[in-house]
Amino acid sequence: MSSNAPDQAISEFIAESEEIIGRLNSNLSHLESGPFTQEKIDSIYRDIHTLKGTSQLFGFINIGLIGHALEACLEPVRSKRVGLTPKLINVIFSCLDHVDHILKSPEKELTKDNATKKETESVIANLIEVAVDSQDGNFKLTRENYFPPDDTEVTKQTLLALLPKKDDSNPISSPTQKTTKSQDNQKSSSDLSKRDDLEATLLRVKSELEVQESPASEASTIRVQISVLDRLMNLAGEMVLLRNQVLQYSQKNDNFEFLNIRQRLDLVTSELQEDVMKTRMQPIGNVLSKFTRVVREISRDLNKKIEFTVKGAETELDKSLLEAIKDPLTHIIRNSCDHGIETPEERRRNSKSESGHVEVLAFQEGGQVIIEISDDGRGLNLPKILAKAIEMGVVSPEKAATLLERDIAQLIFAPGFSTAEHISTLSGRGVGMDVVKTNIDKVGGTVDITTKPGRGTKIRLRIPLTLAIVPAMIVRSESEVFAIPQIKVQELLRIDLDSENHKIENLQGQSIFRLRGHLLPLVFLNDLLDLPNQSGRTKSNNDIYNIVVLTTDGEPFGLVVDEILDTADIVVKPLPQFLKRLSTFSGSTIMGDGSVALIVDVGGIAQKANLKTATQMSKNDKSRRGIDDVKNHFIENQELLFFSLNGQGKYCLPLILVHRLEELPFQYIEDVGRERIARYRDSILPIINLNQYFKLPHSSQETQRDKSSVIVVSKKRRLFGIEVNEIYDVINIKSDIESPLQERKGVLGNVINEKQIATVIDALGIIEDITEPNKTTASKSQKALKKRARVLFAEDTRFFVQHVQKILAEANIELVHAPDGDAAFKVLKNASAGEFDLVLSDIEMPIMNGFELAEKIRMEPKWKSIPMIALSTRFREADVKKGIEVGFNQYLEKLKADQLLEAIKNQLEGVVA
Amino acid sequence: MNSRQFCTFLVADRLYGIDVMNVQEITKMMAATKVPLAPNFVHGLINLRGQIATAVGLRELFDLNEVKNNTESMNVVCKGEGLLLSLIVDQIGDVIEVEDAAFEATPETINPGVGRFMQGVYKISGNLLSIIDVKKIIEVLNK
Repeated sequence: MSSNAPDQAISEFIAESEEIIGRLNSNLSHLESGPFTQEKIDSIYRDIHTLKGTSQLFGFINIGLIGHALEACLEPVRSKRVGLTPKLINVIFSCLDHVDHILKSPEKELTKDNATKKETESVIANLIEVAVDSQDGNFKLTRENYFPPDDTEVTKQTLLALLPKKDDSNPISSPTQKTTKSQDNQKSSSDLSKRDDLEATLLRVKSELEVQESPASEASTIRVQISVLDRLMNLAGEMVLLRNQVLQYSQKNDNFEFLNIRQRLDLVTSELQEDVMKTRMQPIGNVLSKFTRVVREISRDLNKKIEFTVKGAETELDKSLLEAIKDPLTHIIRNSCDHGIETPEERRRNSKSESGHVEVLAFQEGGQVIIEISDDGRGLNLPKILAKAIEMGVVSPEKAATLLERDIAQLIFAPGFSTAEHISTLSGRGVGMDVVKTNIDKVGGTVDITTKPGRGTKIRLRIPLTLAIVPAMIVRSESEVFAIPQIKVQELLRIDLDSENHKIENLQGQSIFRLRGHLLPLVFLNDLLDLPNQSGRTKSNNDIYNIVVLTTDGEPFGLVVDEILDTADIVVKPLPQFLKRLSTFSGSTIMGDGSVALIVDVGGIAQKANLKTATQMSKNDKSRRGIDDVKNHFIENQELLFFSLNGQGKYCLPLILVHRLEELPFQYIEDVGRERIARYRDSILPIINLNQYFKLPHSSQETQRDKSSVIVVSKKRRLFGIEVNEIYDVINIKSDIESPLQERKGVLGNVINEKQIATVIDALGIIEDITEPNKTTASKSQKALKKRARVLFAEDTRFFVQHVQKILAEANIELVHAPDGDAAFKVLKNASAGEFDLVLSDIEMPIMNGFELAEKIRMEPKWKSIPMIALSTRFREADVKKGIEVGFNQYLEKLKADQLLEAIKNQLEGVVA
Repeated sequence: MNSRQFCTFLVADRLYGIDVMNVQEITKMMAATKVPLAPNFVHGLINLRGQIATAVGLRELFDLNEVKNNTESMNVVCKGEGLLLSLIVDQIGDVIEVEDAAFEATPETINPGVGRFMQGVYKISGNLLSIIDVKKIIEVLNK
């Protein structure tokens, strides 16, 4: 009894089982006295399933056996093939009594006490007899079917022998008690036959009592009703408000004694509040740790090798939620082990490592806790699931044809769904996933499943933090105060509009701020929420902007507020459903002064401001494709600036190249010789008219305007203006730029939007073509490498990937792309030495930046001397210096094709060309 | 003879009642945090000793556009479906006890704007008491 961890687990199991028994008893009595409802019987069935599962794990074999038998007897009732007779209810009650009895003396059960086993067998025999009797002829189960298939032959035979014959017309209710009693009698009489024995027994009992007492005195926990905690929590909240009032009052008071008391009150109240909060919050590890054992036992039972890892065990979750997700987690993990992970032989055949891997990852994201359970097993058999679902009538065949892969996977959550060919004691009755869905729904969470045939399955639970404490940014817009979950806040900006560099620009009615070269769309909170203007200021004369840069699915946007007040840990209070539906607020909270503040739902705001549509689409698409992609932060969509030229059709160019958009009056633009230039910010801007470049004929439809739309693009630190007819909008496109059917000068390719096709202009190529018309074609052949080389390129922006790919393809270089530093490092780690000739890396990337990547590569023995070139827009001296320090051989600026090719050639062929 | 107790109040000079078992407390008007973009009957969120209640104006909810007389409004705080609803009424009346025999179902002809929230009507001396069902209010709001 020295290690009390397992003991704690067992006592927890007992407490939990007692709860279940209590619930079962009350549900059964309801069914006995009231009308038969499917909901009740489903709930009973699920409870028994849970009881069966957990008891087996903790070695309560007898309870497991009873559970299995009960389940088997109730299955026909649940599927409405057999009615629930009073007799059956009675016998179920007596089974529950027996389970309760076992739980009262767990040590007997754990030491595999023979008497308990005998009693159990007779209880089960009795149950089966009643169950078999209560079914009418059309039910096919026989006595033998009630036993778990993987049960040992011996037990089965003993049990069968115990069964009264079918023609035996004995009344059914009494044998249990009789057997039990007679066994008790036998036992006691033999035990107590001698006086010495009695003394020995007494001694044993005494010592047992002592042993039992010691852990009890050590135990430092008690079970408290959640409702009591709730009340405590609310009282503590009230206390804080009172305290605040006292603090306010004390400011007008200079009674020293009173001030002293006030200070102590302040301290004590803070501590009280903190501790009361703590009572409800528990690390998720409390629940997860128990699964290590669960998985170990399952893998032993199933003869599989399964590794189980838990990440983020410290993530805290409200106690009641923790309770609510316990059962779902058990079922998911059990399913992963049983259905997901293959046998070692099968894994070997599929060239996977012999031991499977089940991982639970928990983390907080905004107002939610995400729990991901992933396995690297065989994945879901989607065709089979679909076939089964149609067979079971869950979906109609017509609808089935329209389902996407993702929707098919979701079907496993339908009540009673199971595809397992045989029913094992572990899972396969199809009750598990049903439990998962109902329980998670109940707490307002969501379940999502992604699967990849042969690669594994990932189940993602999103649990709201109804009571969790969330660090938040407190902001003011007009006269209203709002809280923004800190986890969504990327940075805070204070923009002085008077200064030269900072300007809010307007792009088709959308305010844009240029943040370190990236365009940041701005959302004005007061406009979005339609707040009454109370400050009397208008947007135009408001010379200081407070911008909270927020992320939604990796896509940042700026939320303009009037004032940034504070940061605070807030307690999330749920909103009623009809307010949640506004989707702009995720909850509310009580501020220090007792007022209520709304918590901004960042995702909802983005959606409301229409920032999201394209991103969202690509996200959904992503989740369909499977688990690996979830980790992939590669920005799937690209932003393109759309404009028109003469004639039909739309044109666009990647927004990332755009420096500014200008409307220049015609008198600013002049034709000087063969060049067209504009006066622009005290300097001269070369203008390229795309209509002329592409030799597009003037059409009569073009309206006469007095201004010219110019897209300013920078190349090699020089600005060029590209003159177009009309600038439309920036559109997110998720598809790739497709190469044109026919190579055309100045054209990168085509993109397909939902309805139309647009031509993507190769702005840089055009500029190059105009400024150095002879260079590009001539130098190409010289630049090609003598030997084909393989280059790993870490870069998160798709446009640059395509750009570099194009350049390198012409130089006989094969490019392998990785969306971030971490991914690149993984590629290298898994590759054999010599597989890559060079590493090319961006500096600013998500997850792992270029500097970190370089450092890590240099530590890796097989890659420590691979040539590495950094490619970045961050081209300050300090950056270059740091780049060389961490191990880059060269540090280049982006979008300089010639330099890049030259550098690669130098690094690979060792000679300066 | 069975009887029930109702907390009564006036909205636009009409008498309404809510089962006392559903009423947590009556309070004066409290500072409410406005919920932008919410329907007009949502007056805001109020802090009721650490719990947040949603204040709903019955005048607006019942679509009674008459100008409010100048008596001070009161909050009838009700519990239902796991949330606190603070109903804003014009004036609070007595708690009265009525016998089941005086009950009538909501007449078909009643304005559905109010009727959909009603359980029925009690005939009391000199007046009719319309019974408001908090559950129905929440149901309608959540629809």
